[in-house]
Amino acid sequence: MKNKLRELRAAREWSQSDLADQLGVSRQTINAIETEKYDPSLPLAFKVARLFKKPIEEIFEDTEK
Amino acid sequence: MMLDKKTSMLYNASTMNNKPNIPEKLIPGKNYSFWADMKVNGWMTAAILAAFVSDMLLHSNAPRLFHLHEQDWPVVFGLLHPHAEDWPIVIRVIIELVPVLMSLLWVRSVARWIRGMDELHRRITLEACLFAVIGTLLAVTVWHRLDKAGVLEAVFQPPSPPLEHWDFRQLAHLDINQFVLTIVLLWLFYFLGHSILNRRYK
Repeated sequence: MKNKLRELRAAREWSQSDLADQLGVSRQTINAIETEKYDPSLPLAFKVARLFKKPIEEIFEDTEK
Repeated sequence: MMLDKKTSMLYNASTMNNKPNIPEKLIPGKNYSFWADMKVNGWMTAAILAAFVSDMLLHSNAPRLFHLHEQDWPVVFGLLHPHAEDWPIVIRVIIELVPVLMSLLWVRSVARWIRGMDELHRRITLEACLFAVIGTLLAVTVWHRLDKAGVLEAVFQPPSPPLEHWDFRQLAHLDINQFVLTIVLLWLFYFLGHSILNRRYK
């Protein structure tokens, strides 16, 4: 699943560790999501959306459409 | 931008203290932590030691792996072979089941450790555990069937006369405690599965 996590993170000058700390996950998870090797669970996707104050659909794109 | 970064990080300071458990803390490497390892695997270490002690107390054959002989180790044998076969059956059952109870406590500490991981690590660890269980079951089943068919005997013919020192040909005839062998296989397959799955998400 494509996502804009890297762009949103870079816009705020956060490192992957900073973002991981804020979401309560490991840096490896953030890296795996950004490189599209892992799709986050629904609670985590909602956490991301709440953190960046954007709707989920704007951050994560369903590539199966 | 800097103010925004500082403010949001302060706002989320509470989440920064609840860092998830990382599997790498239990795997030898730069992130390894002995205390984390003991917290998770302390009961397994105790179970292995208890299994060894119960073997020495209740199983009359000396472990061939170490070539222990009573005349060479009179103190050890005096302490650990106090004619335990004469002990009441309840005591013998308790001694045999202590390693099993410790194993259950180990499973509980592993489950707690996994519950404290973040979702990606939890997925990797659970898949690695499944790989370990299936791999161990297959290895033990194949080994047992080859042994029953006499294949191991044919391939690893015992040296004649028996050698004083350990030789790889005795591999098929090792009298290793089954419990310890199972734990070792589980760990080997777990590390293998973990490294394969870790690469998938890197």
